[in-house]
Amino acid sequence: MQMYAEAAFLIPLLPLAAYLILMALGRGSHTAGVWVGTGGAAASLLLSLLVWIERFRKGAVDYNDSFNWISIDRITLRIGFEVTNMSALLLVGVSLLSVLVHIYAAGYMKRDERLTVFYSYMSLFTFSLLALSLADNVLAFYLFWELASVSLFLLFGFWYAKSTARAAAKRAFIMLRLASAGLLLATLLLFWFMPEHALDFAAIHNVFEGQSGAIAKNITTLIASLLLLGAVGMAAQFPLYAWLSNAEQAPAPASALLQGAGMMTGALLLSKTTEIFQSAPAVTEAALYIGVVTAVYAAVRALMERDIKKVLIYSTISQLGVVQLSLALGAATSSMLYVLVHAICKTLLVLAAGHLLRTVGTADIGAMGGLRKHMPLAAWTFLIGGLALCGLPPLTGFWLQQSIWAEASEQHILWLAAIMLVLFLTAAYMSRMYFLIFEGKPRSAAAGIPEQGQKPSRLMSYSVVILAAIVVLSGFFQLVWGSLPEHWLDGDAAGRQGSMSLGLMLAAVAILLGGIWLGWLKNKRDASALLSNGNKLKDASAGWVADKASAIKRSFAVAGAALAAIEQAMGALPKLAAQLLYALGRLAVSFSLRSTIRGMGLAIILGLVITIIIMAAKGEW
Amino acid sequence: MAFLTELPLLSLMWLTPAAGMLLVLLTPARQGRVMQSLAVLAALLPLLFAAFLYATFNQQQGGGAYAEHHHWIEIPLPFALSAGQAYSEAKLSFSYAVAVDGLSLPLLLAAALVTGLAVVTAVQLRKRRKAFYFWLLGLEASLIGLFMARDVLLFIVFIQAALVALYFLLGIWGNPDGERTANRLLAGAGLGSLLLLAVFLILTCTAGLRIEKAGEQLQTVYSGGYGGIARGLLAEDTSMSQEVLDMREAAVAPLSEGVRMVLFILQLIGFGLFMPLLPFHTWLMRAQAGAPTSVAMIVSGLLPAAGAYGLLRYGVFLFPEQAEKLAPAMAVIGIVQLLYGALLALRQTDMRQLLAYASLSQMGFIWLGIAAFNEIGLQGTIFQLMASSLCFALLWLVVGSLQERAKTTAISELGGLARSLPFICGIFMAAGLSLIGIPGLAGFPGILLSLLGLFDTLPWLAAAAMPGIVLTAAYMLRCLLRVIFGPIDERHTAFKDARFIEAAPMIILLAFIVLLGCFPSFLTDTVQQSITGLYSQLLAGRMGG
Repeated sequence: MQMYAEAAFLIPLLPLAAYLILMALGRGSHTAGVWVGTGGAAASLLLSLLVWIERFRKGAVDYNDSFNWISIDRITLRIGFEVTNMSALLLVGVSLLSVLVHIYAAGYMKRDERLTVFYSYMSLFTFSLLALSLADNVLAFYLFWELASVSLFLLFGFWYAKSTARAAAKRAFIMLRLASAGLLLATLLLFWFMPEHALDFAAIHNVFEGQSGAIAKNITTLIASLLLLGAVGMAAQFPLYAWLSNAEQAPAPASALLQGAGMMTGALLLSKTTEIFQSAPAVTEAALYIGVVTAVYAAVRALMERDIKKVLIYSTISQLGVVQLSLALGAATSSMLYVLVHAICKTLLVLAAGHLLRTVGTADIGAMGGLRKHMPLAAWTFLIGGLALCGLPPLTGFWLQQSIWAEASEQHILWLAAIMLVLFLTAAYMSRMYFLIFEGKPRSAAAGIPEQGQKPSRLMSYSVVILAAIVVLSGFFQLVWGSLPEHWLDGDAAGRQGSMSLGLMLAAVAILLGGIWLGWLKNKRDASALLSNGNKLKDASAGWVADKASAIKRSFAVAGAALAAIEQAMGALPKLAAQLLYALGRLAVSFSLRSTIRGMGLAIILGLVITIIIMAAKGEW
Repeated sequence: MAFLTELPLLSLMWLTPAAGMLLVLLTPARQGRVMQSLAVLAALLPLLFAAFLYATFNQQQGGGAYAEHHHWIEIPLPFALSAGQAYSEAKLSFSYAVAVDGLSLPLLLAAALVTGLAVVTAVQLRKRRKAFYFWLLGLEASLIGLFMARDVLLFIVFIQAALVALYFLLGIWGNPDGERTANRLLAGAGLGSLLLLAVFLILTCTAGLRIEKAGEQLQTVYSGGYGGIARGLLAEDTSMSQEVLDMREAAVAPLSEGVRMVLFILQLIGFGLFMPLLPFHTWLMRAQAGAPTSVAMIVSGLLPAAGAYGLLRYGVFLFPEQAEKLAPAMAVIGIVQLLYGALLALRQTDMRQLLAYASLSQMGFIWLGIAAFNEIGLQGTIFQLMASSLCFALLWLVVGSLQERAKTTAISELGGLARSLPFICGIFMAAGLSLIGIPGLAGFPGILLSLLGLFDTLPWLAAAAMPGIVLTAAYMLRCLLRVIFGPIDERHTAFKDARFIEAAPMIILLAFIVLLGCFPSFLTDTVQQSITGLYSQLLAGRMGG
């Protein structure tokens, strides 16, 4: 019946196969690398679409399968996959973005001699993301997430010769490792506290849903906080956001895939374990605050930055803060949809930015300005992506946020206010960036005559245009069908009706327009400041991060020095023993060489003395 | 392959490299190529045997399938015992007993693989090759024998043989100042083996006691056989006649709790000198830093595995109650060792030193797995032993190749090597990631199982191991990123990537690492039956006691 669902495990395996082939191909083979990498992703997309379409049939049930990874006596660790409406949708989303990014990269990375290597890393990343979307238990989730973080690390350090790339890769790996330690510990806890060592999400759902008391309150809180640590690291939330803020070191296509599809992982973890958080209100509270702080802080940072990539990265961090907020509020389904839409918009923006970058030759928006005339395509796609990201009607983001707003206003007006503030700031930084880049007068020679830069390849334009089309079309889809996707994802019974309130919508639009106006004002100020002094806008907080990093390093150095001293002391005794042994050996050798008889005599005397002492001690003399 | 079952495979496994020693000795020094091929052949044949054993191993049986037993040494003792009317002669008996079960088979495979590849790698050595092959084959033979021996004397003989071989390997080819390193080996591991000898002799004279009926007369046999000692320690045999019981009482007092504890602690130190255990590790650090590549491959992964195997077989399995009592202490030592090694590795400036401390740190997981004292923990220990012996062998191979080209192992002098040596650097990265514990590579399941097991019994200590995992990533990445990434030195741009003779062992080891990482049941299923049997024995013992 569910032919495609049963074969869903093939979806991640296809990019994995592509990865292995690409590894075997090695450097060189340029076009073959592109075909294999893109082909793997495209095959996944095809199969995902089939699985997705199959979900619309009447009577489609969730499909789940797993195999024994390790079995020890009665205890088994299983790895499996589950096909639900949500995972089917995620599969389509991830593989679609992956295919488009792969196509884009064929143009963007054309000149790179390690193109095949790049495609192999991208395939590995795609594999782990697809497997993550399918994972049916915590252990499998952990495994694939680790693989995702490794591929991230490889992509961050792709241009390995740059020391900045090296530093970014290292920071990303260590921070993600910290988060993954949290997830691993949570997995261990779940393994020992869940009835029958069940680790799958369905069992977690059942156990925590009824708050049956199968697991003690404090353990639940512990598990939830460890999961939160994992999710915070994955979604680059405060205080573990610093790894993502270096994502500009990765090549633009990799950065697009990371900031789009890659950032779904944190939200996915939270949404799959949402019942645990419901049983641990204190942790949920913490998640709310973390989300708000991150969202506002990163939005303000985005308003300050002058590097186009940095603006987009901080925008991603900020948006993920909103997602975490809404997940913690309990709007799991709409948050996942929101993440998906954000992924599409952000991929579009990052790709369009890469397009721009290749043409202008710099990522500094201070050096741009007035580019709309030269690059109408980039301007239009940027505009569409930016507006959709802000959530201006009639684009998708707007309709999706309705249910999040509804949830927030139900719980506390403070959360609604926070979301509105972020909305305002988002509109502001997006419009500031747009105006600074595309409107006004050119501020440097490069921006004035962009024909001198590289001509972007047609493949890049294609994928950007397709993405823009998807963004626009999905907005219309929402307009016509309303909250249908949420109903479909939640199952028919759970659908919420009529959560839209006209007053809220009008207020939101007003806030958005206010934000755009603010962005325009700031653009004016920045542009005039930049015209007079090119170095005005500096990254203020970079020094702070470096300070913190060196403080941590210093403490490790001190600890290491202390341990080294201990090590030295520990080594002294064996050294002494060795020297003694050596001396004894020399003594024995010299005796035996000079006169065997003397040596033996000495031995006999020594033996006699020992015997006498023993006898005396025994009192038998 | 059927004819293989007819052969005494176990003995052949260690006899082949031993015969190789002889052949190498007899080959004239001028015929370098012949000697080389002979050595490689003799070194790789045990791998073939081990693979055959592994393939045909019956998992349900748990390992009675392969065993060989011959009388070896019988010494009549110059005294007799009497109890009541009964009167008995006494004799000391050691036999040549080798056997393989699910516990030793994976490690045997790892030993054959790593030592075989070490001999292959030695092809690149130039200095006094004949002697090098001789001793390296000796090391291989004794390490393989060690994993099979089921008699305490035989075990000690193999350990001593391994130490002698190592002594010469470190002393002659060690760098710098090999002689001192070799002396440290004697003061360290030599002392350890002496401790073990003492413990084993005590065991032979107490638990190894067996009363036999020789016709009308009784005979008291002090035997070093492993099975006999295990029966003497663990199971009270009730089927004995009164006469025999009396004689037994006359011959030896049963080991008290205190004595058992002392014996176990002595073993802990004795084997700890090989493993390494925290305060007894300094000689091993030095040995690794100074050893030639093919020896370092063995010393940093396989030698600790041999020590841990010995501790499991002769310590934990024979003194389960004592081991369980000391489990928290072992776990604490494991954690301290994990963090201590990692912090020291973080500040090393030389790759060789870094790897030495990395091996110290990784052995922390072994202690954690043993301390867990349940099936999962034991599985984790064995997995980790196998994984780390492969992983460190691979890391040392890479470091050896880098050293050969750059003439240095100082981290600060290398950099950006991915440009001139993409293959070697790729392998380096994979091996490093395996050490860090990335899923899909062999390092992860071992760590996972050890922690999973420990979490059941000592959850807080398992949680305390988490910083160790993060630190492992930190020190390994520091080395990997320094060496592989970054700008390349002018002098290093012209390096040639791996030759076939270098690449082949690397690929073989990596293949095993990936296999174990993706399909851990390849190993766990083999180990399972032996551990279950053992575990039920422990439980039964506890019920009875």
